[in-house]
Amino acid sequence: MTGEPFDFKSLDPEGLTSVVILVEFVDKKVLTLLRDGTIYIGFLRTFDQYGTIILHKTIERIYINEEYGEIPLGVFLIRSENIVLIGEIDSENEYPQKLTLIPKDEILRKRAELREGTDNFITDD
Amino acid sequence: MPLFHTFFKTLVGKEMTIELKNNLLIHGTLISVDQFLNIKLDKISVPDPDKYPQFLSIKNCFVRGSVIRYIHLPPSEVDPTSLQEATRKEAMQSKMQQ
Repeated sequence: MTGEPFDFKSLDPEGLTSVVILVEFVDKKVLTLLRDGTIYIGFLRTFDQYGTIILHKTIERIYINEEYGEIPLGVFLIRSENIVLIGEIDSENEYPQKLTLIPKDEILRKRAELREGTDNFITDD
Repeated sequence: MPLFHTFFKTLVGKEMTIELKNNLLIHGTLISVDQFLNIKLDKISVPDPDKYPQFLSIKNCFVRGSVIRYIHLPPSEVDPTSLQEATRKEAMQSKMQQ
């Protein structure tokens, strides 16, 4: 991407109509935690007045006990009601040093084992 | 401007603990707050980092207002008298408008 970064604050200087504090995350690598516990990591490219966000180069990160795995996914639009928190990635601590990175297939298999017997349904809590 | 938005703006730079609806506690320094009471914290910490490894990778965070259950504030930073006055003032103003 080239040129001057877009000035989001100029659209809404008082911060009355948009989730203006998301401005500081634009084009940064962020970790997004959803209400169901899913973790997506990607570059936050844009957002709207509801707090809907678009993540670029998204990966899903799965933590199971002492191990973690990453699944590349691409571009994601996340509706704001599903978001719990968004955190800027600390480049020095991006990868959890205490934990072991395991291949994608293995982490998916372990998660499937954990989820066995539980139905997938949409909860609204 | 809504009362609590104004109130939280006076607390920028102060430390506080946010309790989420999923029972997670996040301690940090308030950086900014918007009209939905979405909150941004810096220098965050969680009580049991081994249980929540995702928090080791981030340095600050934005928490959506709707997932917050409580905000634990430092008692020294809250002045109930002036909050009461502000509430009365706001109530008066909305009466006048009717």
